[in-house]
Amino acid sequence: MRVAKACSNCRAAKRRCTTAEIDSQQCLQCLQRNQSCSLAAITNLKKDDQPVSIVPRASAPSDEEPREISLVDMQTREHLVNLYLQLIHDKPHTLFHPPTLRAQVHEDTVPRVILFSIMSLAARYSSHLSRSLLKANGKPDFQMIRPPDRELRSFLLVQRIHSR
Amino acid sequence: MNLFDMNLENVQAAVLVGNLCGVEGQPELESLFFGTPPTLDRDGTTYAMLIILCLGIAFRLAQIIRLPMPDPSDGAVLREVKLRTWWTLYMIDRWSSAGLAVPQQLSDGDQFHHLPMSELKFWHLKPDDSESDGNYLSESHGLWGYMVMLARIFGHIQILHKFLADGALNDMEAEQRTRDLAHELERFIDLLPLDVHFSVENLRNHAALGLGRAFVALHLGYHHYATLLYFPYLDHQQRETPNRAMYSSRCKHHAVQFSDILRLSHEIKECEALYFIVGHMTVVSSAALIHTLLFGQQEELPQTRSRLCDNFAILLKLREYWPAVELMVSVPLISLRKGIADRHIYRLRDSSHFKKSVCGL
Repeated sequence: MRVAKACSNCRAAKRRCTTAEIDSQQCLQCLQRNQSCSLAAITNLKKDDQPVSIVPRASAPSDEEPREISLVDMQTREHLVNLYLQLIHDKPHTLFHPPTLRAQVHEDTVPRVILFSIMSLAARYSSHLSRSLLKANGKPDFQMIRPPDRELRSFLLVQRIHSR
Repeated sequence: MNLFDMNLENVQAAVLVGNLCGVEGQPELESLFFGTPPTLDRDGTTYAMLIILCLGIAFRLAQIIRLPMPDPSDGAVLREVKLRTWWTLYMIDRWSSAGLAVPQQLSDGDQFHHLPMSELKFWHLKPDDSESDGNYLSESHGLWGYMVMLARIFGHIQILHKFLADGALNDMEAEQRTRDLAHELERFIDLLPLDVHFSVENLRNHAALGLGRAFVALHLGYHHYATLLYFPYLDHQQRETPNRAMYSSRCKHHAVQFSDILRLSHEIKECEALYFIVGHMTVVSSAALIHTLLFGQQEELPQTRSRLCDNFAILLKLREYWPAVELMVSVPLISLRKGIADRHIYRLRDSSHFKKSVCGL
């Protein structure tokens, strides 16, 4: 079992996903079809292993909302919020009206601390769906895989709180 | 956004951040399992302290803004969101007070509030729908309503365990209290509508509505709490009391049910239980199963072994998502190895460490 590296379009279409070079922002298949490619979001995230690139540093000088969040594109945000709603929300806690939360994420009106927390809770699952898509024979696969964007989960929220 | 603004969003944020501290940090779990003093991290504070801090903020904010009392201007959605946020705090309070050894903050006396409405009804509300008491009049509740009922019983089970750990009850008193709580669990099941009882058909029906995982969570919770209630009666060295054998077998029964539902949840689409606390509950189920493996009848062994393997496989899966599950996996293994070497791990009465790991977070 491999970590899924295909982009979401190719995964959905169950086709081979290839890139011209490592860390390409777009796969050849999407390029050909002129589609927006999810690899862009992943490579953006991976460029810098420091999670601080997406959230303000603990020593961020001002209260203004972090501009860095724009690095996590809307597609990824919505993907993670959906994972959160599916796998966590309504299980150990129930805090939101799901349609309202989805709409607020889409309109970008969710308070940052809530959006960050949700994304960091959900990021651990983000390779899971592709894994279950890859799972052909229906047998559970317990092989160890490090979710590719696991670094997302250390959004340094804790430090954010600290710095208050 | 300032964490100290008094509003609902900050209560929700504090719950989420508290959750994150709980699953990312290992030090506090270490202290839970091994009884060592919490170690300090780089910033001179501990994750456990952060959880207590976040939850403390959440509870106090909630009380200050009078959750879950609706404002007259609140629509139906906001009203239910406040209610659910409040019951979430109640649930967290019941779970975290034992794990972090802090007193319960919300009393059962606060329970005059409505229980959450049916999830389907809630999801279909529109933000501008006006509030209506009719939403809360029906006899059937949402799955979360039933989870709250169980959390109340769970709170009482923890109080019983605390008394046991403190040696504050004699055998007969302990049995009496266990019997009372057993009746509460039976009443709970009697109240549960037929379509919410556990069956594969009901599971599939809920899954089709997008509620498969919440349905699984409800039933995992039920069997977990019941396993905990009867757990002290697994102790072979405990003095014989009239119901010891029955309670001991109930403990194993619920541990088996837990394991079977968990496995099933991972086999049916849109049902798998993958949230953090499943790890802890699976360890408790495994502990009871290990007891059967060590002391059970020959004919019970193959199935018990296979259930233990299923539990373990799911723990490994959970560990991939939740780093703190690591300790939950290693502790039972150590216990099992020790248990096979010398069969004394089940002296629960004398073993505060094991009690902590079973009753704790």
